[in-house]
Amino acid sequence: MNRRSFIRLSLLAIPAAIAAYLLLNFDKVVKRILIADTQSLKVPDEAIDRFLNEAKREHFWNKFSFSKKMFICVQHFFSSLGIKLKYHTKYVQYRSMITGQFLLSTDFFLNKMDPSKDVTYIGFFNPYKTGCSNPFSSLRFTS
Amino acid sequence: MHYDLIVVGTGFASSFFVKKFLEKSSPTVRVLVLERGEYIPHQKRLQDARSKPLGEVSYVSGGQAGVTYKNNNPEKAWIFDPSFGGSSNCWTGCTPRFMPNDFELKSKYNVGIDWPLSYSDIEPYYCETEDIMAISGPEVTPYPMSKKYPQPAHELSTVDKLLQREYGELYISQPTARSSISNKRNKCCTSAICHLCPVEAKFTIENGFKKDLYADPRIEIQYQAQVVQLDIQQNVVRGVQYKQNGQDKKATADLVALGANAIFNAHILLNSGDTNVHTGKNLSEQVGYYAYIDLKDFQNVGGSSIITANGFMLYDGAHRAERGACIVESHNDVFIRYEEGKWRNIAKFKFVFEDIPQATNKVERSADPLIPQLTYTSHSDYVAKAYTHLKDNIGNILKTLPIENIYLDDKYQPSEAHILGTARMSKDAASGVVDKNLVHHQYRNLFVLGGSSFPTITPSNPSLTIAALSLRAADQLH
Repeated sequence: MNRRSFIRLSLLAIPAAIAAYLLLNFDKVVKRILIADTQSLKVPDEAIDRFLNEAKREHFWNKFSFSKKMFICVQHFFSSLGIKLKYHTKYVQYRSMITGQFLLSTDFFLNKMDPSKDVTYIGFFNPYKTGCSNPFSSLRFTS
Repeated sequence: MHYDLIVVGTGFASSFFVKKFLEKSSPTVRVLVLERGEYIPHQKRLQDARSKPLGEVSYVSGGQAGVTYKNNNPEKAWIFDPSFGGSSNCWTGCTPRFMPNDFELKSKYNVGIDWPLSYSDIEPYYCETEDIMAISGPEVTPYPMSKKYPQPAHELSTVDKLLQREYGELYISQPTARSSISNKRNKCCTSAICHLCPVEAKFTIENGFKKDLYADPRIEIQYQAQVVQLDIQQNVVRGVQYKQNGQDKKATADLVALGANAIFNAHILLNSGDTNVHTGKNLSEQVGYYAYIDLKDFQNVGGSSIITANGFMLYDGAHRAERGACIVESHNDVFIRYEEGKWRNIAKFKFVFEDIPQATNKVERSADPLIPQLTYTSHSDYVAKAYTHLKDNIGNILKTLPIENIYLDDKYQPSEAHILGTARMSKDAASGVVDKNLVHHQYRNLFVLGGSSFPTITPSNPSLTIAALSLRAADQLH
């Protein structure tokens, strides 16, 4: 292998290795996101782990394609360094979906987002099993 | 067996046609309905969804539509439900009417082609369809109505109320087949998964027609019966050939009505030797982009299910000479913002643009007579110009909201789940496939119903108009 080929291969291999590492740590990234996003709330320690276990059981992360998971991991890595990459706004949306799914699995929204109340984990949010489940609608709020 | 009428499909187009046809027919008339899929009761669909892990639940619960056609563009999705009731099973129940100028795009704006019928021609059938579907809607609308909606409007959200204050009748509670009161169906309780409503608040062909219309002894319905082609002799359709459980079958009739979607209506015509140059061409649908708006010190709460309001402020006007009309959907599912204390200080909109159909986007025959081949390159520049305008002006359009940040997607959605074009309506055979009564220009005992007949692709959701056109078509029969 000549020097040029080696450099080319390295240029491909290094990002691929970083990507693979990040992807293998998708669960950890999700956990870090949830801990960061709920730090101001009274969430018991075990709630996030329970959520992550149930998310796995519900194949929930199937809703996130391989490339989407990769995207979240890479964006999260740079975002935690204070660097906003291109398409950061998409990352914001995906992150909101993850945190939203967690909080919907608790009584936080049912308590009208009151940060002074203890947050109780209810069970993995599944709108097919729980009808009338939009906590923001006219059923629970007068607009 | 010989029938008075053979109908292909059981979705909106077919079912509303059969309803009116039977109202006008004698007690001895015989109708054969051929449905390519199965009858899957709503309760079974729900049980299936509940028994699966959440990540395995798909949007369409009636089978895999994707295996029924070959797609030359994997980035472009075509969504439908291939079972009894068709896409009424997976629609979200959005039923705005078209605007009067939608029918006169060429005359008014020198774009596309005119429909061969006007808003006033279809208006009585809009009223009838809205009664049948028990539509909820507001008292004031941007389009003229000779009759009020049968059910009151759903409540607006806090965001919608600000926008309605700004835009008046151009921003309304969404007209919808999701019940606002308990009447023919349960009242909507805002589950926000309207494609499979857990409380059966949404009109479907099953809850609207299965127990009465399809129980009419004049109807014989056969399932898993895919029509392959028509038998045509000297420009008269004599019957259909279909495949059922692997067997080739035939049936004859005086009248035939194709009520499949725009992919399969065109495919059956092409298989049957239809040589109209427009058959199969102009495959199209609307183009939608999402936008998320962070709100400063303002909660977006209240409102109804999934889509609470429609904005018409970008819809009709002189701009349509240059760029497409847009309908705004205000969404109300369970989205949040992940920032502390700002959880619901966010609004979500979808901007849905009309397109000008292009002949290069088309349905063709493949080597397999059961499987059509779809070629779709892109939407037209008419959409691109409208999107650019939105991108440049969205802050101004939504200026009445306390905006903190705007995130407008730069990628359009893969599908709006509305398959249109392919056998368009026109005044004559030179410019389209069917006439204003949805009768084929060449085969005068053949109706081609549904979204395939749309000459232009308005931004509004098409199902209400598809149903109204079918009622009207059957009403023209003597």
